[in-house]
Amino acid sequence: MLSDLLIRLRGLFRRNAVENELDNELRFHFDQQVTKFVQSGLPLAEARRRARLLIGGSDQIKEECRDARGTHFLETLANDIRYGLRMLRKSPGFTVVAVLILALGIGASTAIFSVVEAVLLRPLPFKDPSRLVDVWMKNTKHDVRQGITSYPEFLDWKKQNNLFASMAVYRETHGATLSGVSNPVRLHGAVVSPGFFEVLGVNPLLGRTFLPDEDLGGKADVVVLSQELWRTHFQSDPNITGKSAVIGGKPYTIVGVMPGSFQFPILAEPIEIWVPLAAYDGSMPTHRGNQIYSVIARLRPGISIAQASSQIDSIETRLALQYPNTHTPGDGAYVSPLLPDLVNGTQDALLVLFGAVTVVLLIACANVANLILARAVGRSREFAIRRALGAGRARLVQQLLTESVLLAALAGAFGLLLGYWTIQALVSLGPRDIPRIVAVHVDSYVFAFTLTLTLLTSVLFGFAPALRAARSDLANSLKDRLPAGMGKGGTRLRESLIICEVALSLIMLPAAGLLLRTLWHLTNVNAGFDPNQVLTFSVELPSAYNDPRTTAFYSELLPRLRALPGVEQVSAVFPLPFSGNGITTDFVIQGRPSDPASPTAADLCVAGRDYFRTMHISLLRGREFEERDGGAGKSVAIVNQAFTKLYFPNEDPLGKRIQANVATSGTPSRMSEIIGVVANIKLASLREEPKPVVFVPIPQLPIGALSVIIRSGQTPGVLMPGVREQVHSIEPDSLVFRGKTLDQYLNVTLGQPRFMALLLSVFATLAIVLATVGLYGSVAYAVSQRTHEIGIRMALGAMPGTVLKLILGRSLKLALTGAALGLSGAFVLTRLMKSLLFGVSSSDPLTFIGTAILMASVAVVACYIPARSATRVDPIVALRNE
Amino acid sequence: MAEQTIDLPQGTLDLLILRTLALGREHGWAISERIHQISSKVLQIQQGSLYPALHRLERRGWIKAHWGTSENNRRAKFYELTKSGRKQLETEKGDWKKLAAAVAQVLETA
Repeated sequence: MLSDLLIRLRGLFRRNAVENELDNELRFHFDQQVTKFVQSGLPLAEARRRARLLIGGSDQIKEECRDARGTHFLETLANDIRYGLRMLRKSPGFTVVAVLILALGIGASTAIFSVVEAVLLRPLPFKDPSRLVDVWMKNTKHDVRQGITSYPEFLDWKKQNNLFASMAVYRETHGATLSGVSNPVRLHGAVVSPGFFEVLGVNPLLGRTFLPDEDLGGKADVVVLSQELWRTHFQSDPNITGKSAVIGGKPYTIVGVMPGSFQFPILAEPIEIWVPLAAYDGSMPTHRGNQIYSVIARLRPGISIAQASSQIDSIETRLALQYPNTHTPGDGAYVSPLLPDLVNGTQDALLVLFGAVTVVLLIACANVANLILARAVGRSREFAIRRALGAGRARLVQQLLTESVLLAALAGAFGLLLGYWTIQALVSLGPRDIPRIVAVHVDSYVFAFTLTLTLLTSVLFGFAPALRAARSDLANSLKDRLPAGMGKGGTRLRESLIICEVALSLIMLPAAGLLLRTLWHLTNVNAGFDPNQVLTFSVELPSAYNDPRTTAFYSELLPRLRALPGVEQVSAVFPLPFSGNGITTDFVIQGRPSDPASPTAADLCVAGRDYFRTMHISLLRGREFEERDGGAGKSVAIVNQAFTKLYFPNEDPLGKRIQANVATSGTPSRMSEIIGVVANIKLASLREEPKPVVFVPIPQLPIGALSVIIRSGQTPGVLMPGVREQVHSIEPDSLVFRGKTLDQYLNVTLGQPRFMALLLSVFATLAIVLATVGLYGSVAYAVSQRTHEIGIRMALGAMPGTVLKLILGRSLKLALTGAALGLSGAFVLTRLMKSLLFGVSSSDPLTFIGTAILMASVAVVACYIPARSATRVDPIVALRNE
Repeated sequence: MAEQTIDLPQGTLDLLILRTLALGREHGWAISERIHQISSKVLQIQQGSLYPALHRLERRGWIKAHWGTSENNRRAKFYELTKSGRKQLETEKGDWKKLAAAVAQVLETA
């Protein structure tokens, strides 16, 4: 209805013009009427009189016309806004407190929503992202859910399906060194198949991406740079394409630069280069056993996830039968949407946070509603006079709601500002393992959210008090005595609000308590090794190094490092616990038939001598690796407790012989004798259950990617220069990287729980403070209302104790009702956080009882202080008020 | 000169105004005069109902107004039917006929 709006607006902004027109129009009519009477023979004066009689009061007509034009509502709205602003200015204390409380609630909600929006809701910045999917291997028997695949397998999938428009593989690499620049650096890169960028549908900023023939068997020594790397290391050279870069000791031609907004795979650290697997991965893509690639695909239009899943599953089931050497029975494949896969790990955490801020906001609304109710008492005469002068109830409600909206609008503006700052803090403090957290910012969605929230809150906190005030009893309010409008109904409303506040904060408290206990458990969990005072680093050796040379390098390096001042123990290992790497393989136990249905699987660790001593891992039986182990002599292995428990439950593992199903450089591993048993250690996560692990000495399985570990009281800053010097004195062309303490690796896994515990504690504190203030205010108000009554009681001989009981009893009953409701709510809601907890059950009695006691004590204090002041009422003063 | 007038049922005034304007643009006075004449002086529209109705119809977008000159050379506000007003007239006319027929039928048979 455009005409409607235009007419209303014209009525509002061109009021004079509209009024003039109305005047003229009516006068014309009047004149016509007069003319008509004159024509019928009446004298002019009489004609006028008659016309006036016939037509009636022109003011009333004008008023009705204004109503008909609909400008009335807008005009009163403008009046209400002016009046509302004046009222807010007149009581600055109330305004500041109410705006502050609401701004806290709105700000916190805005900040958390912006994270939820950026991480969970915002579509991925690719072409048609809803059709992008992951394709995973699965093995129902071994509970493998998101299995990755090999390149030949991928090529078979690609060839045999007809539901995907395009498919590609990728894997992450930390191993690419960019040399030939002034300062060689390790790059974080993605190794991809040629169709990778086409699947995502993203064009390069400069140059081109990979061509279809830049694949196995073709010429593929090309690289695509990220905009950031291009800027920092190539000075944003506009003619970069065609130039050469040395990566991993090999020259590559730079063919393109991706725009800064492009990142895939989306990981904590940004990807800096993309290289074709044909160039970078050597012969790895040719083996069906090398399951190292993730698969991304684009569905054809109109194809559902379920259709694609079922087709890819039947293809994989067929392949598993065709290649029994590289598959185990039960192998299959499936398709899942890209975005949910990406945010899976953080979804629960973010939704819990969002729930928490919603609760804080609700408490804030209840608080402000209570403030408005209390203030309405002071204004009850004003309302009564308005009513007496003819203001309808709807009119009064409209005016009070306008005031609420004004209050909320102010709070919304501050809240947005507060939210903006909070977002900056969240992004810089937030754990890096929340995907896309760097993309969090205030955008139009966040703005719209805050706006909606502001309007919603104004109704939430303003509606009930407004109705209440409009329903007030006229006669009573105009008398001086009874503070009107706030009879029985007002008390009931205020008391329900208090119950709500207490209940809502008691939903928050146990949730925060459970997360704090989780954090405590995680920081105190025994990882099985001592991560303090351990420095670790890796060495990249030139590509000319083969296995024997690598072994020789480390056997020369480790004793040299041990000789450095302040160093207690030195060893080397692959994979380093908590580094994100891991090898899982099958084993053969000598003398036991292998059963393909339940293979003997375990994690494999390549460890140097003194590894257990350096890490402070307890040796339970047998001995550690020594210098003589692993060389030409007999092969040995050390297993952990979990391995013993699983595979030798009633036997002595020492002296038993096992063989790992892995090979390096074509030499199969040998039967190894178990020479020791060590305690269980955590390998990838503090939350994991003990897993079976087999350790083998380095010479038995020489591997280039070893991490060196040094236990020393010295800080890394003191140690590193000496370490570098030793490494370079043996091999000047090597590169020392990832110098980090073991602590730091563990801390990364604590980032998210710490973040959650911190935020929820802040929100819970906010909740409890708001609820306490509300409770205090409500009791203080009740006391002030009952001063007269208390005075009479005391004059008649009531003891202070009785008065205290009178006031305290009612308030505590409210608090207890709220607490009971809140605890039952919390009991149900904390179940939703199960996936976030560790070492504590979602209905942990200690947490629940503890938080209930905390809330109860706070409530008692909040009620006691104002209640005690009631006992000090001087009957004479109270009664003189009459 | 006592003229016999009857009260208009609710909503009928809008219909009459729309119908009158269907003959061409008119100012308020002429509308009331024409209705008066065509109805054989049975219907007399009071100014108090006419102008609010005109402003309401204008807001709904069924008629539009502009200032012009009257037959006696005075500035007057003229109203004319819009496209949606013409459509509205047809609907209301149909509704009215149905209602009138139904009422008549009830009166006859009851």
